[in-house]
Amino acid sequence: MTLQRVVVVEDDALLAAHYKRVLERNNYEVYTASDGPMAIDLIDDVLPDAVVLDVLLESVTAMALLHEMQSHHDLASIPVILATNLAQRVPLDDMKKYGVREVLDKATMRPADIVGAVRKFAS
Amino acid sequence: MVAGGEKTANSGGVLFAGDIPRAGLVAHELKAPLATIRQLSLELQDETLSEQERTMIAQQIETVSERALRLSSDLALSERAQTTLFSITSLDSGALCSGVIRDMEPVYRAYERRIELRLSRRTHLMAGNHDLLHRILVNFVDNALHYTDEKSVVQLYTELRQNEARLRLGVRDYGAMMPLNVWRAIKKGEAPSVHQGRSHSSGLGLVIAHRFAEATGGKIGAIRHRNGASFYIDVPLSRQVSLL
Repeated sequence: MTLQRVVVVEDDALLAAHYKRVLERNNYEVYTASDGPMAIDLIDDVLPDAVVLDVLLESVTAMALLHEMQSHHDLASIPVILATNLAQRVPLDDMKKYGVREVLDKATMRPADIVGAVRKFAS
Repeated sequence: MVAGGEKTANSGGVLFAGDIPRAGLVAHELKAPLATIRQLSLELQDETLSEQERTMIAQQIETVSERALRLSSDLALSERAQTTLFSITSLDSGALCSGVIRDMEPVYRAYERRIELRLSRRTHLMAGNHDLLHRILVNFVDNALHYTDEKSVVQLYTELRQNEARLRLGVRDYGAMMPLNVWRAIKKGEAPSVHQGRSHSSGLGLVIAHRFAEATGGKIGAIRHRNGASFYIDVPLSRQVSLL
């Protein structure tokens, strides 16, 4: 059985490794990128079933990455789950046009929430 | 000073003229490590974890906790820095830097990054406060951790500024170039906002480092390289040597 693929974009190395472990234990194939340019290349190569994205990245913000994904036909439909410390400042309704399906608050989410969101929205 | 495409920001020794930035920035800086600690703690409840994974996660929780406590402690001390008299003594630059490496190596190991010490040919005595200088350098080294990739090595270095009778203690990282907007903020003497590039703590940490530097007679600066950044403090050489 082919595993569904997830790209995690998170510049905190320990948190990225945590998401990777949690998702892999739930039978996802996980790739990680720590910045926007690396992420867009990875997403382009892997064509994941879902992307888990931190909002505050160095060099290229999450918004720039989302715009870039929307500008490519094959990337525009990939569901994006935002995991952020700024959840209260990221209204989901405004973000839906960028492919964002859920916004998770890092301060309150549990490991199962990441898995649940990926499971719900992965294409 | 401009050399080979690199630019420095050091305006008369006062890099950051502002006070500690707005409470939101402080809250964000402290919230991020707490959120990470929480996620890792929740993961420990997973009964399928191996003993090796548990040990690794527990060490990561310890590392991140210590970093958050260090930031809290620095914040508290920096609030008093302008009204407290800190003792200035003659310090061995090599010993100070070695102590910083010793303290930060476990953190670097946890993040699978490397740091090395590059001392100037001779050991120099400088005049400063050990605790404050240690905190400043730890701050720089901690900041560099997030901006260096796994292939490169962060360098903690000393460099004699003979003409100025000062010793430069600096940290060089090899990663993404410092974004221009952050560079401009530093040149203006402002703390970069959390929404600008280099999202990890560079704004608040630099403001704190500036306060400590002022209290100990040092001057903080930054160099923007094409492949990373250097943050440094220039410290007066100890006059004890000149009296020998």
